[in-house]
Amino acid sequence: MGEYINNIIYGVKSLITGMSLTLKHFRNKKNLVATLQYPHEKWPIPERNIGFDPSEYNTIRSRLHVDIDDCIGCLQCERACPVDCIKIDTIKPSKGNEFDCGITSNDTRKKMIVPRFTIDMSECMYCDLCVHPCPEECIYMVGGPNDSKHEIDYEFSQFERHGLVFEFATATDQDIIDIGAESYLEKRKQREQKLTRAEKLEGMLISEGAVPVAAAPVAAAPVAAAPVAAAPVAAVSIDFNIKSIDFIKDKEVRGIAKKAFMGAKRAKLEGVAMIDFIIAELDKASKLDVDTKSTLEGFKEGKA
Amino acid sequence: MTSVVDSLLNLFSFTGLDNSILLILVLHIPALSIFLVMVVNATVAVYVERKVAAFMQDRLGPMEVGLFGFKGGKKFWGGIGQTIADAIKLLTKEDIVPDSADKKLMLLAPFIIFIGAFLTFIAVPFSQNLVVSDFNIGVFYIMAMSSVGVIGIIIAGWSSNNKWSLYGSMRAAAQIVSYEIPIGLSLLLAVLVVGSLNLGDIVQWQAENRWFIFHSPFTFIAFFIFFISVVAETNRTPFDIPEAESELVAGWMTEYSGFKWAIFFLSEYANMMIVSIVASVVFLGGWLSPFAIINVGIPNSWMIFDGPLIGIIWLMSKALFLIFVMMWFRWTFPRLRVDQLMYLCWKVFIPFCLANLFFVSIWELIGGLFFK
Repeated sequence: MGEYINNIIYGVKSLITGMSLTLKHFRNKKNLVATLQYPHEKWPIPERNIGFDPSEYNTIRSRLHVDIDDCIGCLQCERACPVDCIKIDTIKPSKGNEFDCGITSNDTRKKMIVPRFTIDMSECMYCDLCVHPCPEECIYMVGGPNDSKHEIDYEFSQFERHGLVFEFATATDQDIIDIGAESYLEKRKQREQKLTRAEKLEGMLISEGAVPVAAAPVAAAPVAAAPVAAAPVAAVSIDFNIKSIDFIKDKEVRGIAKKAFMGAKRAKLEGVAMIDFIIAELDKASKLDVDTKSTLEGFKEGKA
Repeated sequence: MTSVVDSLLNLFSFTGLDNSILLILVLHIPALSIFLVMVVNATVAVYVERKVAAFMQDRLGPMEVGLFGFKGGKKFWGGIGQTIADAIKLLTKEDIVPDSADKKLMLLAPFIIFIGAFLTFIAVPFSQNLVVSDFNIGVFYIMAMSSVGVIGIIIAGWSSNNKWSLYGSMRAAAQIVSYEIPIGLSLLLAVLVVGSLNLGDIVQWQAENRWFIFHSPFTFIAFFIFFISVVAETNRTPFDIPEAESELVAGWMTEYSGFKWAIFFLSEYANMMIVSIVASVVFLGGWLSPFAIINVGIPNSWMIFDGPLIGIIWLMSKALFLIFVMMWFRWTFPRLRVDQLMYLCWKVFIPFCLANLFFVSIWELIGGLFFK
């Protein structure tokens, strides 16, 4: 009996201890909170030695950066890159065009403008080979010895893969027109359209409607069926899908019907036209009995 | 004490309809209100529970989802829209029914549990005169209706045709049936002293004397026995062996998803609300202000705090505090083993309850002899 009472007293005591502990944490939440709201707040970069001496400098923690105002468009870095992650387009002013391309910080007069300077950091392998050929020293790895030019980035994370393709060029469309290269704009537009189309075909982009390439040739086929199908669909809105065929008990007949359904779907037949097509297919295989036919006809009136 | 139904019947008596027809029409108003209370309670309580859990564990809890562009401060209001987003997700989820489940029973189970919680609300008072129907046997009715849920739990576990579910529902049944005894015996003390099963009468007795928890040392113990037992009855941690995540996945709810699971959730939080209100009404003075704790030396002018309208604030603040304590329990104590659970009920609570019953009877007898 004594142990029984002692157990109860000990139990009550430990319950109170536990609850006071959690209450302390509940009330002191401001001082004790351990969560960091990551995308909104970030820890400071740790002050460990990442090799500020050029010989120790660890470029893998770094990132390529271009001071585009200093770029003269010599393409040396593009040629040096072993993985072709740098893409540069340049435009020279045509003869007689007095467009001022600007001056670099080394007092070199620029002879062309750079409408595109992209670096795909998902491909970059941090070999540093593009940095050394640059005559203007405008492409470099951030941080380390170049800390004064551009401090090291906190992280490389992006919300999408496209985000890792960094565009450094600042030339506006007006600049390109002024320099007399409307054809470049035209070409760029075409290239973008081609890219979007390719992405749609690959299914990477969810397009607003049908696939534009596929739409053109197919459009001709359903023209005959469309006017027939459109009217009843609007009137009763036929509820007919591949599960509707499940009422057919015989496996063989059901298989033929489902095959016909898919065929009709591929030919963009809808509603009544689709049911007609299935009935015709079943008739062709001489598997059409009276019940199946009447049920299928029933779907035309909209009763499921 | 009048009830909401009576008031509504009086209000609409000008229509001249027969009372039985009028009753059917009028009943929709309290029914919808109860449902609304249940939904709002679940929505708010889930959010608060997540925040309380987070703060007790030195986290922040939901912080990303705002409400209509409002995305409060850095602490409590941070993710105020989270529960609504979760509710929308739950209601639009696919309703999965296992192939080998008993489909009719599986559909039936959530509704039985829901109806159990819903019917209990009929006798639960929110303030003076603010009860759907004022039963003479309110305490008994609440006890009876809150037991209906067990049937739903057993059906849910059995029809899922899943060993986890079956284990969970068996444990739940054993637990709930056991813990009803200490609950009943604790409520019996109030009935014994007041001499009525009517919740209004019980509060009236407390208005004339003192809060029932301070009636005698025995009722003080009885309150804690009652409260711990109702935590077990609502299957909450540390008594959550029916749905013990680490052992049984989700216990009897394992096979449920989407809307049906949302109904379980709704009922669980409604049950929390019900037991908290009952505990407040029977032991903590119901809709009386805290000034009525002992009813000694209080100027009469302070009694303005004891109106029916302000009563709802007192009762809800008491009930919400008890709900908070339940959450506090949940994030403090580890789960009991099955044998510990049964030990606690049969070897600790029930002997203490019986002793309480005996001593409170003696107390009343002696009090009757000496103070009257």
